[in-house]
Amino acid sequence: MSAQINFELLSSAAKKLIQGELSDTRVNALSNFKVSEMPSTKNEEWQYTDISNIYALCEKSFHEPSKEIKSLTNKENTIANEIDAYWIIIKNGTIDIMETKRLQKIGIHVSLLSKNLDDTEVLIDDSLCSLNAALMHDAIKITVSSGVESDKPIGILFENDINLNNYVSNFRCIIEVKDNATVSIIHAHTAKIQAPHFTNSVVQMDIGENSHIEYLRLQDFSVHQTLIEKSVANLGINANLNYTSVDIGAQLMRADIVVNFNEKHANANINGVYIAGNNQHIDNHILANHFIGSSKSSQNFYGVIGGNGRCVFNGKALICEAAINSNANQFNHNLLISENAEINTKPELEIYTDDVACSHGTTVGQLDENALFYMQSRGIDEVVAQQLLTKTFITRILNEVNIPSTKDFIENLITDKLRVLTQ
Amino acid sequence: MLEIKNLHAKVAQTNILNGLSLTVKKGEVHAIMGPNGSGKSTLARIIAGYDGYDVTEGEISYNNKNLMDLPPEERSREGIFLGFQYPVEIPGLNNTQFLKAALNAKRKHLGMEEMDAFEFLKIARDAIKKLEIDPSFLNRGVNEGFSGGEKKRNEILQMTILEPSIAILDETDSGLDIDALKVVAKGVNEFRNPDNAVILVTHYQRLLEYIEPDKVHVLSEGKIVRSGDKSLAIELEKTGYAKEKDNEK
Ligand SMILES: Nc1ncnc2c1ncn2[C@@H]1O[C@H](COP(=O)(O)OP(=O)(O)OP(=O)(O)O)[C@@H](O)[C@H]1O
Ligand SMILES: [Mg+2]
Repeated sequence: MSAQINFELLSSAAKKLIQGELSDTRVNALSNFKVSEMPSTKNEEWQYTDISNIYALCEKSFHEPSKEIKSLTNKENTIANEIDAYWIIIKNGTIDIMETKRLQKIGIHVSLLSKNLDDTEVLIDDSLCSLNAALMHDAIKITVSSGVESDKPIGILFENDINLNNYVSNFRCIIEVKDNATVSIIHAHTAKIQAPHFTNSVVQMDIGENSHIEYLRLQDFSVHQTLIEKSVANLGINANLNYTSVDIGAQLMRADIVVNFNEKHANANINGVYIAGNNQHIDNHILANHFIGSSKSSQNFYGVIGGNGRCVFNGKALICEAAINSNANQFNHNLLISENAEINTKPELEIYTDDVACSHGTTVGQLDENALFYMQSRGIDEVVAQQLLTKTFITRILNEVNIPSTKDFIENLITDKLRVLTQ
Repeated sequence: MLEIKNLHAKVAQTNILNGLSLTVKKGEVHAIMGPNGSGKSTLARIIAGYDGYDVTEGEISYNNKNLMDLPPEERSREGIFLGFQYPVEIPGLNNTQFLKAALNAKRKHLGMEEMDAFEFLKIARDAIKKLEIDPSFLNRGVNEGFSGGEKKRNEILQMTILEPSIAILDETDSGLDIDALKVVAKGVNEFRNPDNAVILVTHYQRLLEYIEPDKVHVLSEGKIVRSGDKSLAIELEKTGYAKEKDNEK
């Protein structure tokens, strides 16, 4: 049993939530939670990332379920107004019916898990995932029918509720893409809260045969917020996942991205950009499970770290015995722009077969002095030159995002962040 | 326009410039020649404001202002241009974006309105046509994957667009084929006017056949050991630098 979160309080909190079709799920989640350990820095996978601050927040949320905290979100400047997409905005456990109807017309079905669980398998594995399943209030399921080619991306935005308990949010999003479909998804963690807050998020994705998914995770939380997110993608035959994460904000962020190659000829690009400044900690753990052959995974993460920011990259590929003819790469490049910036980076390979092509590498560097002087000698301010060079460094990977409508938004986000970082 | 007096500079504990003096007036073209490692690029980079050298003595004034107090970007905006011996590759930074940022930095400094993308492209296209540069240059990363000769042409393109008052061209002729050399020379000759000046750092007399210098200097072991007119360059081509070193002793 986990010592850090009081189980009695947790189960009574879970019982007070909407049950609907979720009552069995919550019971299972609770019993799984009871026997699993919460992460601690003693655990190798968590050695650089200390999440003990969230336990207090969780307990607080059981004791004081309502509190007045201002959410910064106002309708005018939410991401939904800046990026053209079918925005699914989830708030107070409800979703906007209008957009859902529009999506329905093109073969994309959106529903709340509590109302439409059917035979959906809710992932309950480790303690955080169990905690999420026991307490999830806002949980949705998106089903993309066979052959659907969406004309616009689907945006997912969980808005933090300002009326209910606002210390902890448990979001879950289950995405089921049937065969031969092509769809882009933007998952936005952009609803800022200016008070300590913990978001525990789980994303489950099943990608069918011949389907292609563009997936973009955008995280721009306030420096008071913590985000822990677990994303698990299961790829079918010939399925293609192009995943990109952009992490700009949060005080503490930990992402676990697991891609399972269960069928042949699947391909996954798992790319990411993170920019951390003072008092920020961003940790990306990626695991590509090649259970079967002729599959390809490629991980490319680019980081810029300033102030006393600290980042972690752990990119792993597991190549099982049956996974002959697999291809797996893990690359991580970092730019440290201050003396106190820190990165712990580790690409990892675990191979149980011979016939594979793998490569990995990491770099940690500073801005190129010669390039800086060259730019300055052309009249460009040192600070501007630094920003341009830094942006150039990370833009390379952002060019891989095939969702044109997000380009300006991401660029502005990064420019603003770099301005703060290089000041 | 540019006055260098008794300049001493070192890197780590090595003395590189040992009391160098040079005066360049408006409308003049100076050629600086000298053996490898004599300090030519060091001098050029110090004038442009590179702070990796330790200037221990001497001064540089430009239009009667002390240059040493200004960072490189301000020197550039005031009209100093360095054509690099080894132009730097900046993969991913668009050449047009780079050139436009440079030009607008200067215009802003001069109190002029910044140029929009459309206006800028017109100017850039004119310049690349004159310099017989492939238009695709503008869409590529700064010097990214450019050949040696292409990089040098790109330096001249930047000079043409920025219209400096004094251009220091550090071995811009090295690695150029004869046609490219003519194009570069044409670019420099068109740039020349009675109000600006050029310093050519070169190893070859052939450049000076196309761009006629007013003065030729020999730099050796961090000092100017001999100055003359263009006939000095012809003489050096025949005899080499060995004699200059002896003279010094
Ligand atoms: N950062 C440095 N550290 C140590 N020595 C340096 C450094 N920079 C330059 N030098 C030395 O200073 C001397 C002068 O170099 P410089 O590049 O100015 O020569 P140059 O005259 O331009 O030569 P070339 O004709 O080969 O271009 C050389 O001996 C060089 O090795
Ligand atoms: Mg040199």
